[in-house]
Amino acid sequence: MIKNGNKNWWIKWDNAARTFDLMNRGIELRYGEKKREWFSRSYGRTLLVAVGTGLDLEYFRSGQQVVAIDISEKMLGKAQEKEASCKAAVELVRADVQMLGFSDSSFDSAVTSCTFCSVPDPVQGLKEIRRVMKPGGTLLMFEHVRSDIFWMGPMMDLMTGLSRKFGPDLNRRTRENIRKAGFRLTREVNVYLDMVKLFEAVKPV
Amino acid sequence: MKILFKILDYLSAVFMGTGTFILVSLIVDKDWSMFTAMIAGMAIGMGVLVLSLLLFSSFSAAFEIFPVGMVITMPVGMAAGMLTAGDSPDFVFMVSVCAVFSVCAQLGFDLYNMKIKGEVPVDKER
Repeated sequence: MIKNGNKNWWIKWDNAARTFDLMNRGIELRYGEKKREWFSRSYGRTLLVAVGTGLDLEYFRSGQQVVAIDISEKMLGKAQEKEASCKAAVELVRADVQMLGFSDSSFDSAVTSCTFCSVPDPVQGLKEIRRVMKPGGTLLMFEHVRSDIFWMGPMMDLMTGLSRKFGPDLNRRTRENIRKAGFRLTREVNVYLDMVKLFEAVKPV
Repeated sequence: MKILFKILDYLSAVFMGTGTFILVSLIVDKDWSMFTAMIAGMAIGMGVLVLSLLLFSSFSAAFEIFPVGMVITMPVGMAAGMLTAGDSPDFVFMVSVCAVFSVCAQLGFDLYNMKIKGEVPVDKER
């Protein structure tokens, strides 16, 4: 499913796999219920992009068919441990969201959770999700983005130089990227300031 | 649970503010120039912010520590550096001032968050 190994950008995520659960425990404690509620609107065959260590798998319902992808083999290894306790039928696949190997219109919905802070070309990644989704399909996202607060945005730009070396970019303009990728943005919710957001977008029919 | 998270937010803010001041006053010497002390204070503040992110991430969201931490640690670090290099401020008094400043900063973020959280009109381009 990895079509070319261009820049090995996933290596930092392999390195992060060991401490990922610990570092993200606070996010799950605080926003877990919000994510459960938001992701409960996914339906049919669902693509979960960047499953990580599988922290989000518990948010899917029993009987739901989830194809969960990640770029990092070590993350997928950890996710496999959580797969057994998950209610949904999960298939774990190693894949790069920028070059998905799935056929066109093969998913009813897609879910991302703190994913597009890390994808090198977010618009390309979103375009690929759009391609594999059926027309009218729903994309549900929980993402942290660049703040529009006049002093915080430039601060986040500055800090991204450092944060990118170990983990995510802090200054992604995800709202704009969703539109650039050809989705119709239907809902946007501020979860914390204007930095942590929920997005709902639809692939136009 | 929500109250517990809020208490943790305020505790981590106070930790960042007082921790930055204490560290700066331990490291910066009276003989340092005001400018060097200010830069060193800022750098120490950033260090405290990174340390706090590592320490508190397992029970507090990094997203929430980071912006408040930036507002607290950098100005406190700068001011603490300049004060320490210029004079010997009363330690207990200054630690208390930093704690109060940290609480005020956290409160400011909480109030602003209350104002802007929730649904955003999707046709509104900002």
